Amino acid sequence: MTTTERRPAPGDDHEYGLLDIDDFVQGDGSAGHAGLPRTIIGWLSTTDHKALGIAYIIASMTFLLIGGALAGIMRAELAEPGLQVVSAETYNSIFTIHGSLMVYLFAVPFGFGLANYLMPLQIGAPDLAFPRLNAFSYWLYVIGGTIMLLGFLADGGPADFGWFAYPPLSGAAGSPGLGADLWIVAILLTGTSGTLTAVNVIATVTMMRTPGMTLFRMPILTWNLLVTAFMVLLAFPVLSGALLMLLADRQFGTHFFDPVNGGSPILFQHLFWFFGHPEVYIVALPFFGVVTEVFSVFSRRPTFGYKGLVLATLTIGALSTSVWAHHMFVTGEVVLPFFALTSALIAVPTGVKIFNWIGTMWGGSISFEAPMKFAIGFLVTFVGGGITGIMLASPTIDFHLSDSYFVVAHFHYVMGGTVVFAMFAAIYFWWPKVTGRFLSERLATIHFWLLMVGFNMTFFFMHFLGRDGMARRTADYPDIGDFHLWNLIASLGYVVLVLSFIPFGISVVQSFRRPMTAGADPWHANTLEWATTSPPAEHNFSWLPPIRSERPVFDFRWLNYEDVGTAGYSDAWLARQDHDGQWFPLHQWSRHPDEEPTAASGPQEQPGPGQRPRDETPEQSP
Amino acid sequence: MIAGTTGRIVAAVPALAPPVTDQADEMDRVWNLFLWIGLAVLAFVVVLVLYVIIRYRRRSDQLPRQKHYNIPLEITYTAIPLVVVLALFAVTFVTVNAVVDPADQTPDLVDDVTAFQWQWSFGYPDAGVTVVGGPSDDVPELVLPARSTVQFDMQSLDVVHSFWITAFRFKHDIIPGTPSSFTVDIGDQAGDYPDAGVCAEYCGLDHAFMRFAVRVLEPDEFDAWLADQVARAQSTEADT
Repeated sequence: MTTTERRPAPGDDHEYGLLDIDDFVQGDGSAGHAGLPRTIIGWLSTTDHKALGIAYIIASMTFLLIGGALAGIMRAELAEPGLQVVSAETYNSIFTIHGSLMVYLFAVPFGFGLANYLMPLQIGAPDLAFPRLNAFSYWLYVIGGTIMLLGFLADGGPADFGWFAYPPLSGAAGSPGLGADLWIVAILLTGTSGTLTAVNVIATVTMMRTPGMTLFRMPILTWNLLVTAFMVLLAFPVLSGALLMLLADRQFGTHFFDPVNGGSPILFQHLFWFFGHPEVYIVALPFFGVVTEVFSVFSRRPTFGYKGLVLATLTIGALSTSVWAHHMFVTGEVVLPFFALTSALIAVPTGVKIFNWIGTMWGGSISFEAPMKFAIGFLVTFVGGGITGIMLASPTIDFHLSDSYFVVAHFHYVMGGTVVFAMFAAIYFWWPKVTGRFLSERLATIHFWLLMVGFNMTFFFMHFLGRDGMARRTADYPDIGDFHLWNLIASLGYVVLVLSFIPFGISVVQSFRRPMTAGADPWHANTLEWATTSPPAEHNFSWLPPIRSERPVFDFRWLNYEDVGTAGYSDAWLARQDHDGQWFPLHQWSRHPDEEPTAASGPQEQPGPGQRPRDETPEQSP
Repeated sequence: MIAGTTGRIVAAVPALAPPVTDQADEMDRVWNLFLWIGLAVLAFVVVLVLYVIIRYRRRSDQLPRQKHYNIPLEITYTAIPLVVVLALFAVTFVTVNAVVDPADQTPDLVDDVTAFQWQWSFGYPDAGVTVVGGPSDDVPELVLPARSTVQFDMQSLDVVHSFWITAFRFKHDIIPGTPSSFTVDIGDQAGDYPDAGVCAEYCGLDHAFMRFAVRVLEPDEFDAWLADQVARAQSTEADT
């Protein structure tokens, strides 16, 4: 199926009586590159949320590629028992930087990229609340990431104490090199960047929503970004504090974590995981938001149980602050039942989300464009990782599996696979919005299946390795049992994973050689970012539809659908009215048989600020 | 290529040793329970997803029913996972207490485990001997008597290590400055588990090679082995 076939022709829409959003936005729905800087100086000095959003995503995907390349060295080394490719010392640096890049510099900042680009569009705002602060946090992040990578040039190589930097190993005696200090400074800078972005997101969502956009009419992605921002505010400063103490131990002779002088290594573990577990949800929640949008659009259904879903997100945010010590079950220093219970309980709101997603698709009219494929891939991968998560939440099982390859498999399912699947769902979904062009559906299908096969080949067999006793973070393993076989499969799986990026790369290059035909709303989507040109012009909107539910664009498009309001197809109309007392159809000639809405039977729509009705709309000239 | 340098690729002997302690039996029981429930949940969700994407694939351009909420259904799919999770927690709670606080706390044998970058030593304070090397000299060997209660007193000389015996299905971090201990009841089976001992917490350069062997002897054999170690230690002392 080619892109041109997939896209419904505008003429078809009109036959169904659908409104075409393109008729309402200025121009032909394609604004060229209006709004994006054109020069290098322009990019370096921009404060525009869309430019910075793109910059975040490009930077984070660059770190993904570097981290992925480092993983390639690890898989090459582990393909066979014995040390062949790199020394143990190099291997230790590589897995440290791989983990740090993926967690601190890829997964979280990609979410910030989504927050930057999409969140103002979704709430009908022209920019974030503090554009210059936003630019500042972006550059802090890039500088921090660069400083971490500079460790490769440092005497003694980059940090090699793992991405959670447990002292005393990360102390001055355990890791004397400059690379360790560079690593700490890098995380301090990116942590500060994240905290500032969180402030910005919260200020924007609370203060800059367009009139009519109540909290319960916000898109789920915006909800999730808001909850994420609160979790960042709670978690990142704790990490920054712990790392400042570590830096002081290393450089200024303090003894916070130095057991020889009465310091407490376990204190660092508590502080780190108080950040570290909310971090998991800081990574995941924006991607949960992405797939929620995708499921709804491609099933042509509202998000099932919207309020329950928001409640589940809030519950996850709240519970995530009281589960940290499940990373420390084997230290013998924590109250096992309490943290086992909270960790197990977090499965409930997560399960609710999964059922809400399935409920969204249930009874829908599902089409399988690229974003939907990747969203379904996300769902299956995420359930797989969730199951092992419940296992690890039980100390009885964790005693054996903690710090083994089972854990490596688990968090690559929940933080690797789900993030990458949802990331590509987001890229394929919003690519037409950001660029005005389509990505190839055919290449996307190849991409999806290669990713699915490659990902599961790489990580599934690590469950067996961990259960059978292979510890994580080991440059070598004994040639016992099936260790060699499973490691070899994982390494071959990595090759497939790398191959999966090739069709995507080709698709991106091809896309930029195509004309900008996407129009404002190619997917027949729900939320406000589709009510502007593709790409959006500077300051985003010249017109906004009325906002009466969490799907203003959907409501607007289907309003004049000739069958909406007739028996058999009235559910959309009724469902909106049932759940939203303020909803009232714009058009005055609805043909609903039971209830003929008139100006007297409900509140008359008044165009609000930002809802400038056009002089001539299709409503008046059908 | 698949045959590789080792000459074989599919192993005859599994890498994971059988459980050798009473606690390990308990933990394997919980593992099996969680595994089967987990697989059932996974299968349920995957089947549900497959059903939905086949049954509700787009057949026409008609707008499907726009259903926002079904409160009874939502309560159901919140309550059932909650019940399952609480039941699993109850199982965990009982087992954890049995494992962490065994009823019989008087050990037959105390073993001093000392971890340091990147090696282990195992001391038997009652007999006054310490074993650093094993038969192959580079992999130390932990020798334990069957049918006995053993208490491990652990300390680290430098960084955080983790004392993982896969045959125990148990590990315990060893944090410098914080001596700690745990007790297990060794079962009836004597056996030799050369790959059962692992340092699980990343501890620097040679972490990957910080392994040890585990051997469980019949109690009388163990006493003979320990007497032999004492004699050897004394003769080494006499030599020097």
